[in-house]
Amino acid sequence: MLNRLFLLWITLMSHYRQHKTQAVFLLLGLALGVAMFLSTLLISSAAKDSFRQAQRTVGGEIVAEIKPANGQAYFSEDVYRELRSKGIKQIIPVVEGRVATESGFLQLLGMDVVPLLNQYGQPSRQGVSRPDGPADNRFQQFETALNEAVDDVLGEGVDSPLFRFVFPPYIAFASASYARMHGLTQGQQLTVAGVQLPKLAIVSDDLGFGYAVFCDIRCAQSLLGMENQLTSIRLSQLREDDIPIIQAVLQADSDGGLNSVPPGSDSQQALIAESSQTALLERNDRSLRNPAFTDAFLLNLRGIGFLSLLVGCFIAFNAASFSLNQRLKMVQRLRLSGAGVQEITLALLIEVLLWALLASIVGCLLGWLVSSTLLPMIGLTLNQLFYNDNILGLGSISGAWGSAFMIALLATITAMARPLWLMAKVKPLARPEQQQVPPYLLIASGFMLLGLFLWVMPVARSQELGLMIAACWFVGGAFLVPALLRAAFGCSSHFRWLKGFAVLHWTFATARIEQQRTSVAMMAYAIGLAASIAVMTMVVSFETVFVDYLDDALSESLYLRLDKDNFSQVEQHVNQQSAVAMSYRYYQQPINIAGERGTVSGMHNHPLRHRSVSLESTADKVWQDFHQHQGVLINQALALNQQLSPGDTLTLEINHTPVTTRVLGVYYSYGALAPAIVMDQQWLLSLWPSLESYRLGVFLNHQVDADAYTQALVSEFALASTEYLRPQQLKDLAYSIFQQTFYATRVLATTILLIATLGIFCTCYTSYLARSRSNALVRVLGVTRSRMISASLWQLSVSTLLASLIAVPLGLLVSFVSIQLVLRYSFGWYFPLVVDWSGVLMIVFIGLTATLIGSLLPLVMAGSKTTIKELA
Amino acid sequence: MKSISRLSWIYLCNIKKIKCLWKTVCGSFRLQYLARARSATNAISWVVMVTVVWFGDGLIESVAVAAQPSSEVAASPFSRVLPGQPLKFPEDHLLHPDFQSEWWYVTANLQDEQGRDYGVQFTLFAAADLTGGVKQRIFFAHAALSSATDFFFAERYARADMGHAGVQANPWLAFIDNWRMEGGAVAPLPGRIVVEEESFGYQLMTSDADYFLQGDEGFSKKNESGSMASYYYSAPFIEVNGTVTMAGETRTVSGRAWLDREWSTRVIRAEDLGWDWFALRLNDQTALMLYRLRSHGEQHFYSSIMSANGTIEVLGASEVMLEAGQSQSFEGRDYVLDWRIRIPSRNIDIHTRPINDSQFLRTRISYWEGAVKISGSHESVGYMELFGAR
Repeated sequence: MLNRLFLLWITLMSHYRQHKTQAVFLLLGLALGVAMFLSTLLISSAAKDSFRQAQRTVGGEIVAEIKPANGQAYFSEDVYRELRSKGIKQIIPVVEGRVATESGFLQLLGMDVVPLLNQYGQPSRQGVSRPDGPADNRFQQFETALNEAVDDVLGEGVDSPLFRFVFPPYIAFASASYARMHGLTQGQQLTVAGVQLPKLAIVSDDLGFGYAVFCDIRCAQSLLGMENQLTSIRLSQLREDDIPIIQAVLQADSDGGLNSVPPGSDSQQALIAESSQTALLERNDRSLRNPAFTDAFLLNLRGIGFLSLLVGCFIAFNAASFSLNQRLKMVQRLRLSGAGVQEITLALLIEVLLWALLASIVGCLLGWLVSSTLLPMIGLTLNQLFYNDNILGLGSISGAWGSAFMIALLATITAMARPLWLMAKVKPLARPEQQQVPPYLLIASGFMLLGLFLWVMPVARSQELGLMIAACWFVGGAFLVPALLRAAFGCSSHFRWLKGFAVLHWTFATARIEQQRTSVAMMAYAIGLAASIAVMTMVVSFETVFVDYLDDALSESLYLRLDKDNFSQVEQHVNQQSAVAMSYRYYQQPINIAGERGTVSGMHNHPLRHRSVSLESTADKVWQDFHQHQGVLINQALALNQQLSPGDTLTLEINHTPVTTRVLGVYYSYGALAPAIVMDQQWLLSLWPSLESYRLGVFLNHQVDADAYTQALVSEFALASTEYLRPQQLKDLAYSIFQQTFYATRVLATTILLIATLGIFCTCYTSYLARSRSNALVRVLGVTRSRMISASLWQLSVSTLLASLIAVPLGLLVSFVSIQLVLRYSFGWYFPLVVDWSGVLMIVFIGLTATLIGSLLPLVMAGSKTTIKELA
Repeated sequence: MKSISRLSWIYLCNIKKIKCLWKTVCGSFRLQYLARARSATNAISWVVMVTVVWFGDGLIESVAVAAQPSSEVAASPFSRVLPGQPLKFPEDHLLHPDFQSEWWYVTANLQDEQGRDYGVQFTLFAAADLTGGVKQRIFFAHAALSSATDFFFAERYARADMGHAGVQANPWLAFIDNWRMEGGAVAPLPGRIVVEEESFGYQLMTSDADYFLQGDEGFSKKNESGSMASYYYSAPFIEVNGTVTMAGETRTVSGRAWLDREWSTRVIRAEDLGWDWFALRLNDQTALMLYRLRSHGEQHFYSSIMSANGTIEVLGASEVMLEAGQSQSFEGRDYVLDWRIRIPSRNIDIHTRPINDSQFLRTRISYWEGAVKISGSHESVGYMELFGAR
């Protein structure tokens, strides 16, 4: 039995030995699809690992943070000492800030790593291995890196690596990616504003230093001018019992003596600080926000990966269908020789498994290559957009084999099931049946209508719904392509005058005959083109609105985040200067908004301030009502989470006082997922008289040189680099991040188009093989080589243009759905669709050109073959 | 300049070759052997521990320094331990910034109202090194609590310049985070020791007690020649009462504690990495301190008998016989837990046995340290520390 099966299988597979090109195309289609899908899965997995790792920095997993209150940049180090003396453990003091270099800014992260060696109350038993401390492997990795760095950077003769990290002259670390971004080198010692930074050691990305130069806390304090101040205290453990103790310490820091926690405070309430405090305890909202952001981003990534797999399947389907036609006679002979349907089915199943195995191996290697190439871009995206501090690491390739095989098996079955099934059930003596043309128009209409139904259906909008609608329209649109091609080429038979032009008539006639094979390739091409157009349109739309948003939100000339000791002095100075058009105190405080943790900001009545808020819809009366305390403005995230729109009622808790008010408007808040409201500043201060602010926004007159003014202010008040910020720098940074963020997406979208183009090449090649005899006959009848090539090119151009006709509106439709539903319900914000027609035409042109170039080789081959040999 | 001249001297003397050789030998030793054999306690222990943990490769340099002529040693920024330097109180209860290593070491044998035995350890270490031409210091501490069935330990680290660890006077206080050893105005006794951890803790009131100068008026040799030494004094007769908390259960306890104080500057040779140390209360009036330092087959004994009336007698090495009994393995190394100690000239013939065999501290540098019971010619209690290779 096994011998018969083996013989059958060998015989069936011998077809590919004779037609190696088919085998190559089949494998290529499957492997490329698997590779692209696998690479998105690998990146997703790496991103999730990276997120988990980001929560486990050198200081362990961060569950909460103590941060400065009242908009201050830092708070006293006494808080840290007091917390330690009260028994609050697993806390790490942190100082973060930027130092200006000649080429921009360097982010500094300073921590005291010594307490990371602590072990807390461990039981010791025979046979129990030494338990890890709170910092576990992360700290051990750091220590190993430190030992190596000290040898490499400082040379021989260094007594104690840890002492060299903790005490002057210090040593600092930068991850390899961050070093590349800033051109930092091993052992480099930068000079910033006359002050030398410690020698730099470049270390592996996976150590978790993220996008900052990591150094000792005292070193960072000195460089940032923040002696005995902290920007945060990270907690890697927060017991409920600790919260009142921490609150008491924070309160004492403000009052100068210890106070008890207000009675009745539960743990959640205790997290909302009194406004008089200089520091606040906050649970780590990164842990809440990061997965949502990361998942949403990765969902889009996987969407692109899935489309690639689909396109790959189309290519494989094409190749399998072609091989079906050629192997039908062989299968009939085998049936006549006594092979049963079951045996042939089994042999064909083994063939499927073999292809799946081969595709998984090639796909896995290709996928690994693609992932490794794209990883730095994705890493940067996740860092800048989603606050993920850690740069990605792919892990081991061995972990990907299983996924690769499963994807490959699924893809192979999808692509080959129908052709192989038709082959298995073929009757021994029957004439091969003409294959039924699937009802493309019916299928397309079904999917399009289903998408439309989902769109109008009165159900709760969600990211998943958006994806389903996009998928329906994608598939429906793809099936429209063969319907259109069929109709177009079918029409040609009605034009009798065409018969007067023999070559043209032959071109259309063969196109009609070859239509099924071409259709599959064109469906893949349409999907690739539509995906590229959708991605491009979304990016352009976002870019347009993002630039406007940056201009609005960062319209000030200068921001000052000052120490409370010099705030009044600086404020007075600024207000007295004629160069200043307007300055304002910026009030922002954490509050509970409808049971959620959010922030409230104040805004006083000045047109310049109004400009910083871009409302979704504008109404003249909004600002009048706003300053008459008739309501508040809410951000898009809050509007989405609470299903609020202008006119709705909202309940807030401000300074322990419930406030019920009206929503006057919703403002754009790109990148923010936390709920936020803006209310009239006088109203806010009347509700919260103790509220303090040490932040100042400054608008300068147009003719004033902002750089010169800033420098003068910095010199006069000896401001540290953390105390002032030019919004233009922020804008530049935000825009460069934006460009980098979508670079990876664009690359992936272009890759789909290229894969689809490859599919057309495969189709042309198989078409050339199938039509070799008829082509030879046409040549014998006197058609020249150039006319043959021109006819084929014409045929292909018409098909591609028709596919593009569908792909363009399809791409725009999908981008519209993605913006309105997927992005909106993933990120909490949306924006108007902006169509860049020149960009769309450029993509169509690129796709067309790539297709024609790709198909040139088989076409030239078709036109140049020796006719006698082909006719023989 | 001092550093440069010292380094120059090392190069001139071709010490680098010695360092390389040492790096090969000690590097693997330090990583594979020392990293598992951990910290120290009393007298000698801390010196090795501090040296190993904090000075890393400096261990090798310390060997080089030890091999240098006196003029080079004199160039060290840290003070050396020399004979004939009388200890000064109360100043010597505080930190000695000119020395490299130092510790305050308290062990206690306690009983609750039901007669159950407990052992308590509290140790604050200070380790210094020269970086950037400045002496810098890090504190670290070990706390442990044992009963016949349970053993808990914890470890804390803090740098001196962050202000959450230190030693100060008026009132006298040695602290790291919320672990505190409080004393009187200028001395650690009488006072209070407080350790609070999630799984265990203790609050002990300590009485005033006499201090005994070990070795030659506080100059304690660590080898025969005295080139390795420390300043060392003890207070073995401290009365203690208070509470211990173990796994959520708090018990009232009382008993005796023993304080050891020592400070020095890199006196230990790198290979001196094994010792057995005993602090035994033979009865209410007599305490026996004994340690045996092992290195390359060479052993250095020191023992003294202290009386409650304030007298101390240093015993000759030939007077003491130490016999190893049953051993137990922890982290791949054997520790002898049962001992027989014989001092015929004093009619002492005792067996020591841990109240709990598991008193092994899996700290950054691990070691066995715990309460023991004494039987034989004397029926009493004490503390034992075992470190390093046998």
